[in-house]
Amino acid sequence: TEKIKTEMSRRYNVEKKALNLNAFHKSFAGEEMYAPLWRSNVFCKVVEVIIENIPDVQAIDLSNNKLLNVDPLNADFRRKVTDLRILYLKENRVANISYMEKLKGLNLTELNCSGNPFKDRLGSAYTDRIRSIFPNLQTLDDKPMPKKIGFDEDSSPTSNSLPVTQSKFAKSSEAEALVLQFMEQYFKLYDSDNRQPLLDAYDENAVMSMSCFGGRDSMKDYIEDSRNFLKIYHENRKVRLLQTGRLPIVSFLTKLPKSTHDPTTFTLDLSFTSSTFMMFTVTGMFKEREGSEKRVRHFNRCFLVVPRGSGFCIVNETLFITDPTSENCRKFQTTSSMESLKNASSSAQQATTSQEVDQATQRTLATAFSELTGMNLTWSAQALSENQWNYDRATTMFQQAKEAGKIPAEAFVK
Amino acid sequence: MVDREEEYTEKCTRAIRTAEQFSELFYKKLDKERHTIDKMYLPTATLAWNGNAVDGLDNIKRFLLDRLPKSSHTIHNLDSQPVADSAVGGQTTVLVQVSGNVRYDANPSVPFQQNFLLTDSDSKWKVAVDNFRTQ
Repeated sequence: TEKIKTEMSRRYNVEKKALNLNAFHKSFAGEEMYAPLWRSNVFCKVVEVIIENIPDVQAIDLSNNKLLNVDPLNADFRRKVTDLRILYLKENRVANISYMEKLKGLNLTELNCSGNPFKDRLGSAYTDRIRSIFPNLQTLDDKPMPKKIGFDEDSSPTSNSLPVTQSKFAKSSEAEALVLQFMEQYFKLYDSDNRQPLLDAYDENAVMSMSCFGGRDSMKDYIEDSRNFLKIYHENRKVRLLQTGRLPIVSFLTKLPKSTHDPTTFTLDLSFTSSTFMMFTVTGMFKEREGSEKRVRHFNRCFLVVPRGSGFCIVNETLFITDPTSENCRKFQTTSSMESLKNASSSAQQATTSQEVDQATQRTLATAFSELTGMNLTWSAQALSENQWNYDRATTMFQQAKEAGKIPAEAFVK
Repeated sequence: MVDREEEYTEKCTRAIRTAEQFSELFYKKLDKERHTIDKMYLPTATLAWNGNAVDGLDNIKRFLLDRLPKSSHTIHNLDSQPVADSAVGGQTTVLVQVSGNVRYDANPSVPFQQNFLLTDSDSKWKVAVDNFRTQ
């Protein structure tokens, strides 16, 4: 070992941090101890010495050593000898590029493998294969590496480029507050034993249709009235299944199995708002309260509403029911609170004149707030205005003020 | 009375026809000719993809071409209604409800539901609102 160490230090150029192990065995010609590098125990010893004494070496010449492989330059070596940039392996006996692939991780800028059988074997594939192992290589076999030109095809979108699912989206946050309030009331009534009060939620001439998809047996409570165009052959039936007018609609809804919705599974997309109507879609899960099976279902419900009085009413509604996935089922809980949906950060699209809430919306909000709080319109508008027409905030402020007894009686005089 | 019924049936039938033709064309384009699908949207359309808003044709085009991977849709449910005049003031509009399964790239297919608001724009049906949710 000492002899190897001595010989190595003789061959080490401290200034250049270069270790010349070219034809290492020749240093021991005629000596008692013959230490050729092609013997793996010698090679391993050499590597040990490098790691211990000169881990900052930058260039190593291993040429002319009849090497079959460079296995001793293992993971440990690569971890500890991080400054190595130049490696010469000329005139050795490495027969397959897979031996070189084991060196992946060595950040080489210059490499020389000429005179090794694997180079000829690869022919024209040689440069590319080497490049794929040592991407930062600049010089190969004493020649500069040719520039790499690729194709732009790899930029096609994958599922990694998809945006993260948001449970709530609202075109306007003022409208969002109103819609959430509507949803709370609607589902409370829908989940009760008597769905008749839902009459108030619908326009006189509203239309509504329900469709479902699932096993014949699973959907037996819904399949009769399912308005799925893909499964109906008679045109008349497609037309007939559209429930028209609020009385027929509510009587239809009353026929559907009683339910308990889980608002923690809800998503809300308020995707269109204007002075004449809003469109929003709710999806989520409910459990059937009656029947032997008491199945859990997934639903998708789209509402088109128009302003009426201080609130709004439904003019169009589609209801789609299907079986939940196992992932859906895992998330089902038996709560009825809409807190998590209310608190979900939504990608609320503020109108371009975001701080300016137009007159019509102001009137709607004030009327709704008046109904909610019992205060007269003037005070309601005032309360809202003070909270930048943020309905939720105004509600919270009102509750706090009321509890603190800070609201004068005149506020409630209509 | 009869007139109104007739009118109603006509509107209903048109909504059915429109939905059937639309869904066939839309998903074919989405899966096989994605680069032509922007023509189906209004310049002012809104797309909400799993709660992510994409506003305006330019953004929608970019989203569909750059962020949505290659898709394969199978539709198993289709429903539609004519939208009430009181909402759209005479602007002929149809509400469409689609349900099916979608596969992105080589991933396993997932169930989805989609709602569309289609409107008559110069005698061409265009998507004003596209609301997509995976189940």
